Amino acid sequence: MGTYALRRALQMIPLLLVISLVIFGLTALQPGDPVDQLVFGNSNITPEDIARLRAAYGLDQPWITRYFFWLQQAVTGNFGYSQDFGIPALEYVFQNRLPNTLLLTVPALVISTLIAVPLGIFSAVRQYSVMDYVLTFFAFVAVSAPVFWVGALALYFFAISLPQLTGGLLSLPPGGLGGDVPPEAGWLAVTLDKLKYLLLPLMVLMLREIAVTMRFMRANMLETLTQDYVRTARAKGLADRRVLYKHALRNAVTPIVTIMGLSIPGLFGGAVITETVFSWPGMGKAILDALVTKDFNVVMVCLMMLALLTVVFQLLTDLAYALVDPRIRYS
Amino acid sequence: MKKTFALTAFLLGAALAGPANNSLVVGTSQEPPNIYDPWNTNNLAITSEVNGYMGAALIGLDDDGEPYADIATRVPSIANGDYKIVKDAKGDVIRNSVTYTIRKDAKWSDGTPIKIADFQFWLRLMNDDRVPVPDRSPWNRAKITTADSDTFTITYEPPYLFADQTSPGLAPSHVMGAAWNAFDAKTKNEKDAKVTNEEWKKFISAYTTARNLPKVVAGPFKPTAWRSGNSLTMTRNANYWGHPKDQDKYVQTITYRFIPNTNTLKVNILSGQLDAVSAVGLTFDQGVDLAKTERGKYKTYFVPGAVWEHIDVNTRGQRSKDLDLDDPRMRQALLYSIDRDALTKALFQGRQAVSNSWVNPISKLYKKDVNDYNLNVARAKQLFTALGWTPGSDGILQKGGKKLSLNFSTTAGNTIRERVQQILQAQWKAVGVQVNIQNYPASVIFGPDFLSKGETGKWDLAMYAWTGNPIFEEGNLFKGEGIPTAANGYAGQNNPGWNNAEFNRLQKQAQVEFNQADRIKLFDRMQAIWNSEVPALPLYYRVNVYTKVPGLANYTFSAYTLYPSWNAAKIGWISKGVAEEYKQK
Amino acid sequence: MTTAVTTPAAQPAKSRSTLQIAMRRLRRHKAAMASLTVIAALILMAIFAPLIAPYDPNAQDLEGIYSPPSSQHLLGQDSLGRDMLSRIIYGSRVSLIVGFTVAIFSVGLGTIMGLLSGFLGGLVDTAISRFIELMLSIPELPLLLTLSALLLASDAPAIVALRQTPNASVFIIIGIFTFFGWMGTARLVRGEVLKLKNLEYVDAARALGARNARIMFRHLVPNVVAVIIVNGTLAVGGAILGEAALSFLGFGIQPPVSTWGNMLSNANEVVLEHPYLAFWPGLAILITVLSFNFLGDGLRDAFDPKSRL
Repeated sequence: MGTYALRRALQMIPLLLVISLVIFGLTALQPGDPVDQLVFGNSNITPEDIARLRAAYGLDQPWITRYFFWLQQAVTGNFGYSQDFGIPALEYVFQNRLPNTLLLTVPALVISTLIAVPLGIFSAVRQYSVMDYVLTFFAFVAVSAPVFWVGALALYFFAISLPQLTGGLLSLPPGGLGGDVPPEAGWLAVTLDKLKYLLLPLMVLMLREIAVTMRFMRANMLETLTQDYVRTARAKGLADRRVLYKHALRNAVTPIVTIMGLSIPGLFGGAVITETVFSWPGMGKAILDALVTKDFNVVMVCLMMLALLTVVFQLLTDLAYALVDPRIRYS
Repeated sequence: MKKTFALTAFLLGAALAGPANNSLVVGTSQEPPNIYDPWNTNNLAITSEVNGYMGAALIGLDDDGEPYADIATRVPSIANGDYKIVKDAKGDVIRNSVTYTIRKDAKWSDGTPIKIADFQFWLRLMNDDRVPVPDRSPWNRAKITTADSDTFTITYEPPYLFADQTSPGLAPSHVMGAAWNAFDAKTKNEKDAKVTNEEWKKFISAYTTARNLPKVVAGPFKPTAWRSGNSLTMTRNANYWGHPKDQDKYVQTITYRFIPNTNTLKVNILSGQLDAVSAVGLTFDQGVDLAKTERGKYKTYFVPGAVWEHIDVNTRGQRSKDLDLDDPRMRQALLYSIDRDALTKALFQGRQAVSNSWVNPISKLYKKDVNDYNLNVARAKQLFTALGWTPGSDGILQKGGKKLSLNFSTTAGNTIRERVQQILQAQWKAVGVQVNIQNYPASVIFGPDFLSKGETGKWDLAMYAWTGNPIFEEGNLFKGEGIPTAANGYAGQNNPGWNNAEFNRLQKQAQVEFNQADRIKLFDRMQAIWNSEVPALPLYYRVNVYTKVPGLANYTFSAYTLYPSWNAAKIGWISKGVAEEYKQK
Repeated sequence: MTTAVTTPAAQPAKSRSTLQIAMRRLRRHKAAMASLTVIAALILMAIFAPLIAPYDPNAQDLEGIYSPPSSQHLLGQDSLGRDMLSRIIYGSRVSLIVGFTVAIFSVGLGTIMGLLSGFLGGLVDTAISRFIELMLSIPELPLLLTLSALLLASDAPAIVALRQTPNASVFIIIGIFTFFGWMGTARLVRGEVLKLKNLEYVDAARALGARNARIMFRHLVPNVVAVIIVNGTLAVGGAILGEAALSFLGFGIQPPVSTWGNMLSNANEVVLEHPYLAFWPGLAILITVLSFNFLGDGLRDAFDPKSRL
């Protein structure tokens, strides 16, 4: 087991190297670079200026050379400065963006799981009941609607219609990070202010997550309920409720834990569409913007962090399986 | 008390803006990456706007384009002897110079007097190869000589046409000097430009970012808090010399709220969260919609701007010859066959007037009486026929079996341009010109391989915009030398590739013509030539849309000043007794 | 027939009947049948768009820009005064073509890759599996955006030639979604094949001298048909939603080709001023994707002998 874990961990290194090369190459191969933006529209610029700027940003070298320079620096922990923000890329990503994204994605995952799991169980236990049909229909609608459309409708309703209907009494801000109240107003005011801004993107983000988790939970539960041991337990005359909770539920919830484990990297990646619709300055938007303006250092920090998390959590999940399930043996 | 306040704020979305506490809350759709970088290594509009509050200059320009003295004691002019033009025996100007005297009370925000050394420091770095300034014109030909401790002269050789309307910048050498020397020592022998650039970023980010706010500034406001992704707050700088006499009456705190989504920005205006909007914020459509729902809560302004929308016609390469795009008659015909009036009426309620010259209508050089190219299908058809293009069986014009089919590109994702494009496509179709829309992301259009490579036939028509302060109009855009070629490293701006000997000669002449009246004459002729040749199809000058609440005084801008921060010291509320000095035009 | 099931040669016959059984079961699935009706209606609408649409979808009416719904224009007029109803009707064409093409290509490619990987094993399996692993470790959306931007702007002669046609972005989007869409199917098919590979009828076929290709397509494909059909159906909706999302981020199918996705993303800019403009294309996407998802779900149940129908 230990050697297996070690071997898997070592295998991650070449994988991550390949990933970094692919990401860097794809970003670099795109037409246009940061200097174009400085040059364009400036009628005073001379060829010498352009050459000087391109050299300063290292853009006069082939991308593979730049990649190795990046790699060499990255190994020593230097991830460079953000081209667009003039601050270290690490600071920009981990201090300015990641906290915002986690503030959105973590509660979304936790709350939606708390809502979805009971609903999924209910749906499975009362299969083909009216409520099951209603929940199923809701789940299908939630996964079939374009996220930004739902966001736009929610924005229109809560920020425009609701204040009109209630004479301005009830409304939710249409986006942004809050900041209506100054820090001097006290923690409660600041928190509530933040919460007010968080509500809409959170609701939109959760809608889909609830639907997906609920369907997953329902399917698992149905699967477990048809398993032989549950049938046997039922046949032996065990009270339905006890069978349900003692045997079926425990087995059905395990995969949810796995799913949650595997969705942790996603929490860090943010939700680009929701963040865009509601102007939430998170990771998704940061990655998108950095890709558009070719802010290499930011792109690399964001995507490599996500890739690292993905492979690490993949490994952890596999190892956890091995620990939990005695049938799986790694050698 | 605090809790009650919190709850009310939660329910009502407390508006803390406005005259009540003599503050100003401005909404903008962009956040500046850094502020108060004296060398402006990023040239974003929002950075310039925000810097306006914190910066001071020897000479400034007001809304009417007239210079006023700020750090300098007076506006230099030939009459008062501060502006000198030196001619050689032939009568050609060989250099010019401007003398400035620094006010005795000019101080940095920490109370240190502003010295000539601060201008010298700025100029030295401006011309240092390690500092990534986009361009150095005219500073790469400028020299500072000092007369006494407060008076210095800046000399431009070769001469600079607008020497009396601009002035060198300044940087706090007492704050940045030591760090610069350290940077200098560290990178003096560095071969790798990237390493130097990293060091530069380290140096400059110590003074310009949210975590390291500028330590000192010179202007009427100084930054006090910058919450990334949220807001930037500035308060009045007590050491600024140019505050109005009773400065307590004026706005004391200005907060910029960064709201990247323009829909969100709009809702914030409607709900009264914002006192005003930045020049970088609303879209035209939103402005039109906001103008309808003002109800006295705010007012919407459409300010004529300095951004010229046009369609370049590619006149280079074999493809353009085949399509006759290199023939002025073809370009005239294309212009005659579109109804720009109907277009601006339908899309902009006529608020963005049709243009017929690349020169800004508010510029003194602008020529009014040029051909207006109003829709004239008959004339267009006549021109097409004269060139040998006749309608084929499918209604599309043909010549020698070749169809008049043009590739029309613009920046993808720019909704207004895409709409204009589709309207024009329909109008051209009506006269038998087939237009294929081929749009690319801005990074491609403005990248190294598109506009400047006209000779390869990559595009036939390209719609985009030029921005230029009407004061500094040099006629550069269409000079023959500006045609991007391999020889000049594709550096020119004349993407159509139009080359007119007379225009080139006049343009060269105008560039060294220091007499305004004579320059106007040269530009008259240049515009007449340009207008008859139409190397680009002129569309309109864009307007800037913003809103502000009634009672806010001296928050204005024009195509000269571009940003409402130019008159920052005098921004205030009429209800607090502030007088309106400049009205928004 | 029933006796033949046990002999190797008759395997395909069994799967044909699996298909028949599944179809019979599907007929009892109400939501799936309703969806199938909606999908059929959508396809008819796309085919007969010129007969149904009240106006030319590209006819501009500069006087009628942003007009709200009226008796002449039931769903209102858009930013160029074009009739929204006609545009929604015509928009179904590109959206459905994108959906179906991506589904066919990505599931097809996924099946081939899964078969190769599972059946041949060894180096092929390692290569394909590692590639999938790599792709799944890189965050998908950035990769999607980068590739899309790269292709929309590439200088490669083939791509430049492609871009000369107005539908270039449609092909590019189809290509990209195919490239990203096959991996799920490949994994499922590989799993199925690994289960089947060592069953006796495959061994028997091999013993009888059947070549690999023959074994794969005659004996294995019919057994993974359930996976293919279910995934294919779900992929149609996925591609339509994906195109809309890419359009929203500015990397989707470009005007003048109009899809529900780019109609929606354009309308999104003026959603506060003219909400109905965004409402209709969004609703069209919702109904279409919902139908394909219900149908896919119904098919999954129909193929699953354990489910009660």
